[in-house]
Amino acid sequence: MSSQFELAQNPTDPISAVKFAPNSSSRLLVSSWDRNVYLYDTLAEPGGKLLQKFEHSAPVLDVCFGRDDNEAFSAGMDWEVRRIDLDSGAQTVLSTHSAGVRNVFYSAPHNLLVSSSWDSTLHLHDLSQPGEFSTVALPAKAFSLTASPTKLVVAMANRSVNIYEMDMLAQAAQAGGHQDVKPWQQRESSMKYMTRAVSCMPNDAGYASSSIEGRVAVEWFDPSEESQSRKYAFKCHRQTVEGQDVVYPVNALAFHPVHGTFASGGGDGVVALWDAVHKRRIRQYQRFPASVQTIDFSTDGKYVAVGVSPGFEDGSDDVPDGAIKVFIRELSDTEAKGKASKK
Amino acid sequence: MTKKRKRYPDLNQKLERPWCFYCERDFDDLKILISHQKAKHFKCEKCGRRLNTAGGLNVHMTQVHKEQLNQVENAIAGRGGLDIEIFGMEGVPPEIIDQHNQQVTQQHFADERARQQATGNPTRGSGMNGTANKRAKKNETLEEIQERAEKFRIDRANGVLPPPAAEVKLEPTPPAAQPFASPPGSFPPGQFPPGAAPPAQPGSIPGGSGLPQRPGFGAPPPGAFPPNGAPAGADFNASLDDLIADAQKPPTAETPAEKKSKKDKNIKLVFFDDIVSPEEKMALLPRYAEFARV
Repeated sequence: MSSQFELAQNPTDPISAVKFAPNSSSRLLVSSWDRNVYLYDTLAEPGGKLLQKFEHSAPVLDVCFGRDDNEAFSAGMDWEVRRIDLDSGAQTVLSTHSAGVRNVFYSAPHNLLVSSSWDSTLHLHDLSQPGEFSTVALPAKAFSLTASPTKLVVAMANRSVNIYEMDMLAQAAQAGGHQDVKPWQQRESSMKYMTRAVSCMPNDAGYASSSIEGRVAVEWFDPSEESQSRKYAFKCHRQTVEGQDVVYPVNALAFHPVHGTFASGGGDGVVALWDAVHKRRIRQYQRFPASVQTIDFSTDGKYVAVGVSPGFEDGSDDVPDGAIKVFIRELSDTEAKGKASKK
Repeated sequence: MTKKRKRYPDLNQKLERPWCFYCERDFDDLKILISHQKAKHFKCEKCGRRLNTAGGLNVHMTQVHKEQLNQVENAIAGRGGLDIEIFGMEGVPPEIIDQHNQQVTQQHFADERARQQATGNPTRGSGMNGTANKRAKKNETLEEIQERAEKFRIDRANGVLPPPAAEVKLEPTPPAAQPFASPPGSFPPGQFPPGAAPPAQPGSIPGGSGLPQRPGFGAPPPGAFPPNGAPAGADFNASLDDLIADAQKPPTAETPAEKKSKKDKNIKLVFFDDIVSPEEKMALLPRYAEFARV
């Protein structure tokens, strides 16, 4: 049986990211525009227990776990990439970009931390060499960052997408300084509008990306024509209101680590589960009280965390009022499992 | 080749057609009706799954989406209830069937009457024993006929015109025959009978154009076309095909364009920007910008 609950103590400003710990399905990091990173034990008591709060000097745009459940990395509008020791609460600045840092991603096999920023660069931090980092220039501002075991995908402004090989990045990180790392592949988004989120398939075969115009595209890394012809995109997160099609941005994508299906979260407050291989929607959950900003599955695939907060809408002077909450859903064994294609 | 006569279905054929309880639409085939009901009335709005019955959809909604189905989608007023289990034509209450049959019957006769008025053709079955267009048979005795003949002779002597001749004159001629009804040459040269397009008047075009003459009365007045599509003189015949094509084009060309604009109009993007992401815009808000590094 599946169940869903919301955390009792939530951030006061919109949520930018939720992340489960690599070795525990109840340890959750949440970063927020209220300039804090929160650490929860979601199962300690009903509604979860807030273990600790890590203050930053500016809104935090992303957070991720590091080598173990006690190390985290954060990025934000203070232009800094930080390491947080979750036990002691000590923060160390690893590098400083020249604009807001949008995403951080930690790759365990390469012990490499990658940060991407609106200053159109990647910073590569080889964590075995503390204090050192390398810079890789990107063609445009980075909007979303994700990686599979061997590939790193950066989605940028102007609909460009760069795919790097992790090994190359790890080498460049060791060298330090400005590195001219050639992307393994340079692609243009298959969607017409700004890319919002990317997420890699856990089986290293490809990735899904989403746009601000209610659409999700699924593509494969393999450059062969056969694999490329398999790529497709579909519409979602739309609503017909009085005959008008209201199109929401698809803010969040996350692949299920076990079943290889993925979840999408949109500005309409809906989370849907999709089977990328069979091109089917598995299920759609009841609407959340505000826009879905971020989704993460726990490493064992038993839980999904959904960060809900009002998103920025065009034509508004401020972020609209609305619920700011983190929902945790316990998934039943088959809930996120793809169905064999029917008929 | 003569045009094939259109066959109108008779009442029994119409009554036999399966129809949808929820929206009163009728179908050629029961299979199509069932697929219509699955698509229009028993489709889950959440996930698009097509169920066989309203009850089935209700169970699906409660089990899968934890929602209660209150009424059938797209149903006409009073028919959206879930208490009746409908599958194709099964389950429709007899009084509703009667009501539908009555409606179909009324519509059938109304259609036939309208068609008869529009075409002047006799309605079905009125050809043999119908009396609509038949004059009553006159039963005159020999004396009456002689009396009538006598009256005619007197009238003719007095110069009174016989009624039948007057009738012929009053009978309206179809407009298409107008140019021919008026004797040629009765108009001074250079002037044309009203209603006939000047360049299309037969005989007004010098012979030897090599093109087959088109009947003048078939050509619409030049004003009916957009200015760019109205050439004059000898070109007229040559471009008539184009003209007709043009005249037919606008509606077909308009429809897709209209559809497209409709499509564009009816879409509202919650967020729209090519370069600046929502987070960047949020970062510029005063409440966050004050903490941002510059």
